Amino acid sequence: MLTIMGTLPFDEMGLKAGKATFEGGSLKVEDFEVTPGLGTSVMVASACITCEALNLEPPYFITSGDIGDGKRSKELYNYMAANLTTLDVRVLAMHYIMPDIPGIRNVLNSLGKRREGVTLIADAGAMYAAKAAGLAQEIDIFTPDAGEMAYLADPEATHPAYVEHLLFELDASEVVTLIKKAYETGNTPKILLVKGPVDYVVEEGEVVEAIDEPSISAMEPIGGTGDSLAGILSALIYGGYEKVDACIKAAGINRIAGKLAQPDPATSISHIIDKIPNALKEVRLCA
Amino acid sequence: MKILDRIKQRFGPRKKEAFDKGKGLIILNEVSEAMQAEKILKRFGYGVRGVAPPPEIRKGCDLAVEFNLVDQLGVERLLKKSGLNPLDIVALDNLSQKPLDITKEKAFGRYLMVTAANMKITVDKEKGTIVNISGGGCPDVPYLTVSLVGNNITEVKNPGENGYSLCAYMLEKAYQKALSMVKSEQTRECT
Repeated sequence: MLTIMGTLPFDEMGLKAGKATFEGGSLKVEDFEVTPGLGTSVMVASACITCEALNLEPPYFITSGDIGDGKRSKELYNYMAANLTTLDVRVLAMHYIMPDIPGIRNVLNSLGKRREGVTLIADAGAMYAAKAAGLAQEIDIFTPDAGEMAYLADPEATHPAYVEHLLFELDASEVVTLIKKAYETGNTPKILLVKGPVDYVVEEGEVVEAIDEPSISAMEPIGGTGDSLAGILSALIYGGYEKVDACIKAAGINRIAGKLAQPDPATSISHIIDKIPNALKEVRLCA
Repeated sequence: MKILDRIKQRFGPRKKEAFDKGKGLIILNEVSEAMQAEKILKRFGYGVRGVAPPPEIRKGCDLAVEFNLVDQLGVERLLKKSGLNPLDIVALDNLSQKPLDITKEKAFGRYLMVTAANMKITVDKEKGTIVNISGGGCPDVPYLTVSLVGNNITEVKNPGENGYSLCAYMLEKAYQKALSMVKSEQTRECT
């Protein structure tokens, strides 16, 4: 099962867990329905779209409403730690959540002996928490952007806000310097998918693929393009693609979806995820 | 100095630095309280700034408020009056970190993107509309996005008022920079 954990920005929403579906522009889990915007909703919707196109069962989505005070993030961490053993998880993707060191540690510890059979992907708050906890190497794949890459490269930072000025000031073209530094300091998993004007797929600190086509500069300011990438990647790995290969394919598919949407900086992410099925066809992953 | 040399210097062994005498740190329960305390203290003219709390008490997404120790009585009084009860107030050395206070700007034709740490805000320079918010990982970023995107940057509530997290703290910095650039653009058009 592809399991995704992450919060949604609704104050009154309690914990929900169930198969996610994406129909008619709406993401549904249990009795809750939302139009995807920036964050976990885009990630889950993109995973749903990809799974459907590849004839895979839809993702199992575990979520709770959190608008930033972190209360329901704690509930989500606790629920995951208590229930992971009862779930048949093959891929676990963790997304927007208040970074909490004990919380992420408990979730990872709860996997116990089953850890080897599960591919772990962390993006957004879950990635921040794993790095801050010193547990980056317990994860299989991180999906940072350049700013987050600076965070991973700074051994003292516990949040991207605390990154050393020097690292933040590095130009996007110098991301490879950050990748090497992050790997040397032990703050990366084995595999990174670094998103940006050029997407870098990194294994053991070495760039194995740089993807820069199609080049759609307007995608950079559009909120959610990293979330769609994480969703596509999670589904591809669940579909059996090897991790590095899945990263390369996901980066290409996300870019093609962007190209098909013909975006400008004011475009909504919903227009881009609508193009994922056609992008999957373009790379011949589905008919 | 070349970039690699600067990085080596940054990550090389550090000389023991002298304590930054006269500075104190206010430790509060949550990031939202720290943001509130910083705002209140600034409003009353105190020289304060948000910084990382000591590593041994960090939970992962924390923020504390640095201030001049000489102001301690007045600061404590004001915080108490505002309903804020610090967990602790400690002296601070100058090895402490502080949130990034720099931004990067990138133009996309009529659109302007401002980046602060992991947060990006993009505005239509001509209309002043916030057209996209990107980045972040804390739960209030999607929440704030709903109330900001599609609205005029000069009319919305600033994200610092509704946010809780360090991501919101950085979004506030990006927002303030974008706001000042939009205003200067509009002023230039008027003259």
